[in-house]
Amino acid sequence: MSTPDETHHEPPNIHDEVAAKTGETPTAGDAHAVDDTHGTHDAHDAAHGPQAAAGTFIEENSPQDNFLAFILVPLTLLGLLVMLLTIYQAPIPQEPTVQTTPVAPPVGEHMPPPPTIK
Amino acid sequence: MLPFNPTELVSNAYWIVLAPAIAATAIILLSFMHKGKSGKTLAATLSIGAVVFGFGYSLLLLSAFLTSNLNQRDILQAMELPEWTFFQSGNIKLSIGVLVDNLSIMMLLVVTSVSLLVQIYTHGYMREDPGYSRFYAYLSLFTASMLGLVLATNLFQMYFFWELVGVCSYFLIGFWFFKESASRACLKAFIVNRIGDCLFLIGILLLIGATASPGHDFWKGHTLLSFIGGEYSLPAVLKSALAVNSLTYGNPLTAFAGNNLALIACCIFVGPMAKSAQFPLHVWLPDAMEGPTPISALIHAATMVAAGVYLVARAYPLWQIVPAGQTENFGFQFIGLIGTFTAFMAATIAMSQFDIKRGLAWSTVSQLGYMFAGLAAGTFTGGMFHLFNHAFFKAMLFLCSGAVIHGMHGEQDMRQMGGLRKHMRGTALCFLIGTLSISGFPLMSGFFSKDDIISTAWHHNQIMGGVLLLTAGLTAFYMFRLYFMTFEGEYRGSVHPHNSPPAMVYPLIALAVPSVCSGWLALPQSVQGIIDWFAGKEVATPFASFVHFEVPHFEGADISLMLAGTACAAVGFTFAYMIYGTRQLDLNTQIATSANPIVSFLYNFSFNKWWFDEIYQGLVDRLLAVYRGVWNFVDMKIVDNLVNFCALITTSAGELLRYTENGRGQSYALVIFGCVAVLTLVAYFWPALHP
Repeated sequence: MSTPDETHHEPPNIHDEVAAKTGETPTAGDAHAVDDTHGTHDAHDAAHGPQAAAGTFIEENSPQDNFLAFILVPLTLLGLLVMLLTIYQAPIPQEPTVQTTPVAPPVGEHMPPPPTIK
Repeated sequence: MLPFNPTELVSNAYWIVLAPAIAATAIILLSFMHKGKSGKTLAATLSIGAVVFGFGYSLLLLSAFLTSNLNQRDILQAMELPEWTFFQSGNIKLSIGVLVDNLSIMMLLVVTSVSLLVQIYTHGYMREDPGYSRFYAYLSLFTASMLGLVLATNLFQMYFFWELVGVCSYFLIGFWFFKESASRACLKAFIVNRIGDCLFLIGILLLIGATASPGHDFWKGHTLLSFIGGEYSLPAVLKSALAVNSLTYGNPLTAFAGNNLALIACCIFVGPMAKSAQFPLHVWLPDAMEGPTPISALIHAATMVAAGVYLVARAYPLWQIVPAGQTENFGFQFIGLIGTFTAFMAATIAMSQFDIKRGLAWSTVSQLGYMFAGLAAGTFTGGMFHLFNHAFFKAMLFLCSGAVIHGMHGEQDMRQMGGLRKHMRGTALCFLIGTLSISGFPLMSGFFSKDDIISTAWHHNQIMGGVLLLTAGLTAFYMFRLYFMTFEGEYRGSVHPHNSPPAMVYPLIALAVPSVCSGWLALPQSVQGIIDWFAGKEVATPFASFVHFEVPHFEGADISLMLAGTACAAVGFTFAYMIYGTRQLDLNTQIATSANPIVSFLYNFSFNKWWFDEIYQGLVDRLLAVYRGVWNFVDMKIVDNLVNFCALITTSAGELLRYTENGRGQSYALVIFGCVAVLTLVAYFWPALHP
């Protein structure tokens, strides 16, 4: 038997298709635009030089990239750690508690009744 | 200003839903005014800002819930805000509201944190895409819909947001709609989900019929199908209805199951079956990988597909209540069967896929099966714990695959990869962490939740437990296959791989932390407690205290099953290592050259996804072939002729009447005179005819 689909088919390059449909092309002279639109590999190498060919290239970052990567992501990680620690330190119920009819008025019951459409 | 008073915090929780909804609207409206880079920056800022707000608010809610004593109420007591009634007729009342309790807070944290990291990643992944702003608008709309679903107070409200997340999924799968494969995939997802949602709605209507009919009205004018609310909540109403046999009367439709409750539970469960891609409605999820990778991570791995599991957990009594005279609710048996079978089936398919994203998609289907099996076996906490852990490590795995695809210039075929660890170390490390976690490597997050499910399933039904154990071995095999084929060995591709920007790599690292640590929430808080827990004693654990159904249920570790699960995973890893790591075992060549038809059949059976797509296509084709003549007659002869007849009537009437509208004053005067004359004659003769 033959192993199914052993021959490799180059998947469609979505960024190229987008560019073809919208008429948008990579910005001239912008090496990273060339890279991100996945132009020819030669163009990629030419744009990024030997580093790119060696596969160690890291794309340059805009201020937004830096803010997201170096400030927002660490803050999110901090939030995740706080979440885990808070749950870990949560009080353990001493006696099993059954969720039944509220013993006190529901929170916010003092608020005015909502509008009703009949 | 953000309210920090716990009571006010809960009262204003609806802003978690409104913020991304407003962001989505603003992005759409402002995109007409701001084009280019400023438009992109605005879209990202609004969308990410809204979800940052949601994540922060969820953390505050968690803190308020666990550290303060709200109105002298137990921390485990759910809180219900005033509801807004939008329909009332007699005793039927439909409302929308916000429900904040332990379960919803857990889901809020999962959805907002994963959504936030995915949106940051999106900035790097989609930055050159012309549809960048549109993508963020969809992301915000989806986040709002998902959060609305999580905070729903009743089944109707949940159904509304359920449909909304379905629509968002459709938009996002077909984001690159000009690709034929993407447009077909989004249509397939839409149609399969409509089948599930249709039966879900029928189930809801049957439930209303059984509990809110004039003879058996248990809601007494309170909100229908509300999850909480004392004696007018879904659990209490189901008990009351069962007590007076309102849910157990026999009729031809329910004769097969013996009671109405089973039919309702099964119908409603078809919704989660479709949304969470369970057999036989699982076929849409792997095709949904046609969407951009951030979507695969957020919607089709971590959040939306978990909505089905969340619905089963939220409406748990529907499946958990056992009618008098029966030993088990038929609904739970149904869910357990479907979940276990799906877990195994998807794992066998994942073993032979070459597309890295589709491999992960089948893995998601399998893990969702674990969650359903856990819920059905009776471990509410275990099922939800696996959902919690799975959201983090699966989102990370998908984002890793996106980083690989980005670095490989769009390549998704693992046969063109290999040795990528040298080029993308951070991505490889995160993928390895995710792989270890999902495989149930000891002390990783997946280990604890999967062990809980397998252990409970084994004690519930040994066949079920055995299948899940076997599936654990298959999981380790296919996940390490993915890892070795992608990151180890020699590079087999032709393009030059490169690393991804920090905006794409750093979110992976952030997700790696909970992928390792979140499982530790299953460990007791003290060293002595951990020792006792491993010794099999019932010791309280944080996650079981936080998320549970009715009462916390603590169990000690079942060492024998824990070892069995680990052994199965080790066997799976060993095979993957020998075949794809060191290539000592050349199984691929042996299969390819084998003359044994059974080997060939088994391989093709797995590779072709059990031929489900072909079977469904064949069934639809045959069904259409049988009824083609009928549809043709109805369409061509009846519908078309009916429309043509209406047109003919209208045209004929117009033709006749046009002669009366000739524009000549004399003609109109003649008509008026004639009418007056007729009326005069009638007035004259009428008394004579009717004395």
